[in-house]
Amino acid sequence: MDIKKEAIEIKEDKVLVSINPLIYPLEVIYSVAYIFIDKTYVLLEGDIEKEIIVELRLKKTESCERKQELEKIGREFLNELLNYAFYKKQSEKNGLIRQSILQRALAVNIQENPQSEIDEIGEDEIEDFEDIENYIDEVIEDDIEDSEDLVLPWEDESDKLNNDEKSCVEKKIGFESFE
Amino acid sequence: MGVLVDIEKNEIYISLNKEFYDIQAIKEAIMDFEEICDGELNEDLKNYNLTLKLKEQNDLCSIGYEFCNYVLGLMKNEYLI
Repeated sequence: MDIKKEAIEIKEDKVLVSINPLIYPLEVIYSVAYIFIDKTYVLLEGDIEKEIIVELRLKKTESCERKQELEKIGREFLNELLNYAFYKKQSEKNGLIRQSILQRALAVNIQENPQSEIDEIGEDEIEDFEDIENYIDEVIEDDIEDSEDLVLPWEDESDKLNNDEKSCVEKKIGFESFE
Repeated sequence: MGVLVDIEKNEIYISLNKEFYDIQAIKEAIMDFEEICDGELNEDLKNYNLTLKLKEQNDLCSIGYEFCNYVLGLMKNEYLI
């Protein structure tokens, strides 16, 4: 595929970058355009359903270097498109997990608060929490391979430690009371 | 069409595609540029058509393109509008 012919076209003092909106959504194009407004003048044109054309003009450059600079800037724009599109996809992919972590953190906080605050949570939200917890359990079951039994439930360990501490304290108390 | 300038009249004509540019951001940009130019906004089926009349002699092209960048910037930072 000849990228120069299909995606980048240099015209005198500007470069036209042709983008397929089915591959790169408009919000990705806005994000990339925004990072280019420091060094170029950006204009958006075209058809939102068929072909989006981004016009980039350099703010300052020597005329002898202009063509190379324009080509470079056009290619950088394409690279950034890919970068942002990938980021967006990853962000969407991890969105549920991120939300789960956040909601679990909030749920822990709620447990420490009075009952009246818990009563304020709607039934739908409680169902959401349950769904998320189930999802996390599934992910943990699917993804974590713990053949060496390295991962131990924190609560069990914590209970064990507490019991040890408790027995020490009991012994101490017993000793003191015996004295 | 993009950006056109009329040096004699000291005016800039900007055409922005309705599918990509937000009317609120354009209005806000006109207000923010009012120290250096008076803006007039019209629209047709496809574009928002702006006429910017500069109050003083200046680099017309740069101001026109800076205006377009400014509109994009406002759209990115919608909370500024």
